[in-house]
Parts: sequence; structure tokens; C-alpha cells
Amino acid sequence: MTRLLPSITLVLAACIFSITICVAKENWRNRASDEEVVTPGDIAAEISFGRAIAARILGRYQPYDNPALIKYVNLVGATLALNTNRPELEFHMMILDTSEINAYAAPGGYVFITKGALSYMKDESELAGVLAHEIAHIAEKHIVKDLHIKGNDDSSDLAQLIGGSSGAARAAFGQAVDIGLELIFKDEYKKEDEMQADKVGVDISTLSGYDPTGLARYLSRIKPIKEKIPPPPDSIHPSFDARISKINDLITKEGVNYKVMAKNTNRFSDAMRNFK
Amino acid sequence: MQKQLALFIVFLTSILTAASVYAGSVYYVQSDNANIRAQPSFGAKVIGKVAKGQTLAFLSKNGNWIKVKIDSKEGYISSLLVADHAPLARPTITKSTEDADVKPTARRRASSFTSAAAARGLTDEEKNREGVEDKSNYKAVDQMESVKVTPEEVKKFKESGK
Repeated sequence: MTRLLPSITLVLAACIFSITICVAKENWRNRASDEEVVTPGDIAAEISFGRAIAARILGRYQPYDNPALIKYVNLVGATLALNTNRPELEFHMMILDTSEINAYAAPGGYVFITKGALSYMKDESELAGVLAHEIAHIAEKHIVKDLHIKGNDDSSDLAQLIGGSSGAARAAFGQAVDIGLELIFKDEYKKEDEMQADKVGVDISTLSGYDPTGLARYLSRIKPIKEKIPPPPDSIHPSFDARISKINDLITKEGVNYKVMAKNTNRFSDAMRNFK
Repeated sequence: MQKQLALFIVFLTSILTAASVYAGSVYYVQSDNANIRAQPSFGAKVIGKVAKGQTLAFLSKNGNWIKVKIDSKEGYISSLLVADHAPLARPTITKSTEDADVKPTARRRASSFTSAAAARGLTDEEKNREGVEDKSNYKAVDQMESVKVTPEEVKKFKESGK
């Protein structure tokens, strides 16, 4: 028995090593994909849910009547969307006819930017920075994960009960839309989601060839205006200073030579020519 | 001696099994095309290009970069451009019944918004007629979705930049 002890120890060590390495792999995968197996029904549910939220946003704000500028914003958005891991989504951009300075993202690919926000932009890389931030919220499924939006293509009793076309299902759907709107309009994204959208947005801008400092330059410009309105006491949104500082750190850390990347100032000015 | 040899084989098999499970992960490129870089940084040299749907053998993770192996070359790709499943198809949404197949399991929170029409199960057209009460504007969503951008337009747009 004593002679066998080193061998038994070796085998035990090997087993522990095997288990550890497999667990480590699973943990990494869980973080990467949140342990979700995405079904076609899940994607359809995400788009349907986002569509309902988009309809509510457009019920509050009229779309801006400027087809040429809307097409231009969609071209910038489509350029950015090529550099995401959501090829199953079609991204749609719309300008909202309001002087409020804001941008919103609804699940499923619906992105909104206000006329007020556009009026504070100086070049295309700033527009790309803001759109990329919103696209990042969608790509990372922040609202979808927060509200556990899933397709009804499993056959569990629970799904049968609350899915489908029953009144209860529709009430639950309506309630989820209300909560989603509240998250969007009250800027109630979790602080880590907001910071992640900045990071992913900066990466999307960079991958698309845009100067990634655009978002920070835009935030610095609107900061004095937005900070005139004090945040609610329970606000969980990170401060402008924290976001700008983090974005600049990320760009430095990634070693991006942003000075040679596209700002497209002239094309932005041309597109904004008939902006009122 | 035979016992020791048998135990050594068990040991070796365990190690090899674990290593093969770890190294066996495959990632799929999700963007139309993507760069493979020599280091995990946007400033690093591009050493290869991969196309949508192509598979990459996962080696390790470094922040937002994934070290992969392709055609005997090792390099890094942004984790934004890959997923652990093949690129998914775009689903077709049937607008009139779109609310029916969603399974929201949202936790309850106080809300200042109303959703009477959604709760009553109205179609898009009926929701539009609800007007102010529901404040859903599906016509504007249709308008938003009608703005199409083709891959050729995006290519031309990218080329005309700077």
C-alpha cells in the first residue's frame, strides 16, 4: 500500500487537474455567452419586444422629416453594425424631432438619436461614437438580459402558461415593455452596462475605422448642458467625468493611433447642410 | 511494476483528455470580415483576415481579445467579432401577431407608463387607432424599417470616407 501511495497521488492530482481545467473552461464560456443557448424564437422575441418599445418611443417623439439625413445616419449605423457579433439583427436608425439631447437603443436593432444631440456634433466620428454606444447596448443584450426576454419555443408548462396569445401573456408583455421604456428613458441601465457600452462602442468605432475619441469629445461638449439638470438622488448612471476618463484610458491602453483614423468632417457637414 | 505502468497510463489519459477538451473550443466569425492581429491590441500588426462563418480554434482569452489558431498561425481577434455558434439567420417577424410568442419573465417594478392596448392584445393597426391613449406609433416604426441600406451602399460609403 505504501508503495502505491505516490501513484495514487498522481492519479488523484490528474483527476483534480482535469476537473479544474474543465470547470475553468465552462466559467469562461458562461461569462462570454451568459450560458444562453440562443434559439430563433429568442431572436424573434427580442425583435418583437424591441419593436414595441420603438413604437412607444416614436409615440412620444415624432420622426424628423429629413430623408437624406436619416439615410446618412443609417449608412453610418450600417457601417458600425458590420463590426458586431449580431449578424442576425438588422439595425435601424431614426432621428427624433426634439431639441432634447439624447440617444436611445431598443432591443432587436432600433437606435434613436435626437436632433438636439446631432446639433452638438462636429464630425462623423462623434455621430459614430454615439451610435456605436447604443448599438453596443443592443449587441450586449442589456435590456433583454435584465428583463429575461425569451422566445416561447420550448414546451415547458411555464412557457405554455405565460406564453402564447392569452390575455395574461399580453399583460406580461405590456408590463415588460413598460419596464424596458423606464430603463431607457430614465437612464436606468446598470452602471456596469453603461460602462460596457462605452467600451464596446469605442471598440466598434475603432474596428469600423472611425477615430474612437469621437464619443469622449461629444460627451465633453454636452457635459456642461446636461449637468445643469441634477441627477435624481437614486441615479445609478455613471458621471460624465468617469465615462470620459475611462474612454480615454481605453484608447490609450489599446494603442490606437486615432490621429490617422476617420473623422469625416466634410461629409458630416454636407449631410447636415439642410439641418434645421 | 505492471500496476505502476497501468496507473501511469491512467494519469496520462486524464491529462490528455482534459487538454483536448480545453483546446477543442471553436469560435465562428460573425462579421463579414475581420482582422487577425499579432498582439491583443488595435495597434498591432494585421497578420491575417477571416470571413463570416469561418471557424477559429480557441487558445486563450486576453481581455477583449481572443487568441486563436488558424492554418497553423496564431493570432488575436476582437471578441466582438466572434461567437460560440455559427452566424444566425435573420428571423421573419409577423407583425400582426408579433406580441404572441414572447415569454417575458420581467420582475415587477413600479412604472409610470401605461400599456392598456398591449395588454388587450390589439394588432398594430388597432394600436395606431388607440392614438394618444396607447402612445404607440407603429406607422413610424414601419417608416423606420423602410429605410434600407444595401451592402454595396455601405461599401461605397466606407470608401468615400476620410
